[in-house]
Amino acid sequence: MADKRTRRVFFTALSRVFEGNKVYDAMLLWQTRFANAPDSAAADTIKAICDAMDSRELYQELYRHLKECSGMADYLLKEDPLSQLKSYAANQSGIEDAPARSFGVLVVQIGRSLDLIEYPNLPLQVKRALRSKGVDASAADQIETMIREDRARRIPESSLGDYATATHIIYVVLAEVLGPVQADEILSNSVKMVDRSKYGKAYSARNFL
Amino acid sequence: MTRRKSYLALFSLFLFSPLLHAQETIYSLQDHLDIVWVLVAGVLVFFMQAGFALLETGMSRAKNAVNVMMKNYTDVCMASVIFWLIGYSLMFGENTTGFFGFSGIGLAGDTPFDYAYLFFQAMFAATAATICSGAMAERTKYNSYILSAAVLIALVYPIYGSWVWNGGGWLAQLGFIDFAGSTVVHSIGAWCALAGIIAVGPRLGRFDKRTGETRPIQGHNLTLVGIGGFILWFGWFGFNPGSTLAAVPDIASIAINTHLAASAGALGSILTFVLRGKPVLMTSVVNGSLAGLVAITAGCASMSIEFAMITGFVGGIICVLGTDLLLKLQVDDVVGAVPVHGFSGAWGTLAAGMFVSGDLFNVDQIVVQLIGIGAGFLWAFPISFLVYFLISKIMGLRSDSLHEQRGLDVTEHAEIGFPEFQQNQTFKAGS
Repeated sequence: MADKRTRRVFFTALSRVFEGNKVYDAMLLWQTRFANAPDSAAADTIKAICDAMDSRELYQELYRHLKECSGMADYLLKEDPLSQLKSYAANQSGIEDAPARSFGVLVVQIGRSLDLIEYPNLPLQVKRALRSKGVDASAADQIETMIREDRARRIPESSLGDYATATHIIYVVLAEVLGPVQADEILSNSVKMVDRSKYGKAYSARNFL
Repeated sequence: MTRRKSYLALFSLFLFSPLLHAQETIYSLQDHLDIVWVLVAGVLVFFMQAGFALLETGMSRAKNAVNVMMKNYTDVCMASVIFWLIGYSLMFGENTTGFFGFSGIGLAGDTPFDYAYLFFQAMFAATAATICSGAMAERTKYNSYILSAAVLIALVYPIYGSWVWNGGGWLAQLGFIDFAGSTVVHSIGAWCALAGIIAVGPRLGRFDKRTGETRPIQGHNLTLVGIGGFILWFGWFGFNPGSTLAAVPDIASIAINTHLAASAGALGSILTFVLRGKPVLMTSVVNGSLAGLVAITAGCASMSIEFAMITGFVGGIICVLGTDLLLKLQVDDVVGAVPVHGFSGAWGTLAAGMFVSGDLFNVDQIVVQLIGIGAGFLWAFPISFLVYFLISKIMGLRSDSLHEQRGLDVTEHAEIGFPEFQQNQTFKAGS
C-alpha cells in the first residue's frame, strides 16, 4: 500500500504550489491511481500528476520534500528532472511511449462505445474532421482504422497538445453526429476504461481532455 | 351682525382644526406606506433574480453551472449601476421628443419616494437583462455576454420604456396599456435573447445537421428548476402589485389576478401535453406558470379575474407551442426564454387591450396594443442583433468548442460547480 508519509509530503508540496481545486484534483488522482498500488508506483503517479498539472515548480517543490522521506528524490536531482522522472516512470511501468499508447487505447475505447451499425460513416467523418483541422494524414488514417476495426495500431509519438487536439476533434464529430450528451458519456466512459488499463495507469487519458 | 359672523368663523376653525390636522397626518402616513410598499416590492423583484439564476442553472448542464450563475449575478450588479447612471434618465427623464427622455447622468431624484422608485425600476432593468442569459447559456463567452447585457440595460430597455412609461412617450400618448411590463420588460428582454441565440448559434450537436432532428440536452438539476419557478412566482407579487407604486387597495385584485393567471398558465401547458398524448414535462409546467405570469403582467390592473385566468391559460399554451416552433426552426433556447417572455408577453399585451374591464374588445385599443407590440420587436430585435453581430466580429461571442466540451465553468471561471461528482472534469482547470 502507498506510503502515508509520501502522500502527506506530496500533499504539502501541492498545497504550497497550487490552490484549493487543483490540490483537490491532484489528490483525487492520487487516490484513484495509487490506492491499491505498491510503493514503487509512487514516482510514476507523481509523474503523471505533475505532467497533468504541467508544473516544473511542483517538481522542484516536491524534490525538497521527497528528499527527506523517499529515494525518489534522486530522480529529481538531475539537470532535467522532467525527463529523468519520465524515464523512471517508463522503467517502472515498462512502457516507453505511454502517452501515445494511452491515446491509442482511448481511440479504440471510443470506437467500442459507438454503434457502428447505425452510424457506419462515423470513422470516416472523424478522419475527415482530423484532416481538415490539420492532423497528419497517416495519423488520421490510423485513428479511423482503430475506431472501425476495434484494434489498436501504433500511434506515432507526439506532444500532449496534439493528442488533446485530436481527442477534441473526435468529440466534436461525436457531438454533431450523436448529440453532446452521448458524446460526453462516450468520452468520459472511455477515459475511465483507459485509466484502468496498464497504459492508462502509466499516463492518464484525462490529460487528453 | 359682522361681529356675529366673526365669532362663527372662529368657532368653526376651532371645531374643524383637529380634523384638518388629522387629514395631513393621513396624507403623510399614505406617503410613508407608499415608499415602504415600493421598497418591499423592489426587494421582491430583486429576489426574482435568485429565481432566474436557479431556474437557468438547473436547466443547464453541470459543467456550466457556475457560468450561468455568474451571468445572473453580474446582471443584477451591472443593471443597478448602469440603470442608475444612464438608463433611469433615458427612461424617466424629460421626454420632449416622445422617443427618449434625458435629465442628466446619474439621475436619482431627491425625495425618499424617488429613491424607492429608482431602486424598483433598477430591479426591472435587471429582470429584462437576465432573460438573455438563460436563452444563450452554455456556449456564450462571459465577457461578450456582459458587454451585450450592458448595452441592453443602457439603451435598448430604457428607450423602449420611455415610449411607454414616460408620460411624454409616443406609445403612452397613444394609450398603450402595459401596466407592469409584459412588453416593456419581458418581451424586450426576450427579443434581445432571440437575436442573441440566432447570432451565437445552437449548442454543439443540439440539432442533427442531416435530418434537423432535435437532440434533448437535459438540465443537470430539475429540483433547482422547480425551486426557481416558485421563487419567480413569489417575486411576481412584487413585480405586478408593486407597479401600482402606491399602497392602495387595488393591489389585492392585482395579486389575485397574478396568482390565478400563473396557475392557469401551468394548467394550460399541462392540458396541451395531455391532449397531444405526450408525457407532461416538469420544466414545461414551470415555464407554463411563468408564461401565465408574464402574460398577466400587462393587464393585471385592468382585467377581471375571469379574463386574467384566460390570459394566463392561453399564455401557458402559447409557451408550449412556441417552444416547439423554435425547435422546428432550429433555434436553441436553453431555458425557453423566448416562448415564456416573448411570445407570452406579446399575447399578454394584446390581451390587456382586449379584456379591459368595462371596455371589452375595443378595436381602437387592440390596434394600439398591436402597434406597441410590433414597435417593441422592431426596436429591440434589430438593434440587439446588430450589437451581438458587432461583438461577435470584434471580440467573439461564441465560446470555443473545446470550452464547450470542457464546460464554461472550468474554462471561463477556473471554478467547478460540482467538484465532488462532476465526472468529466479535467485536471487543467483554468486553461
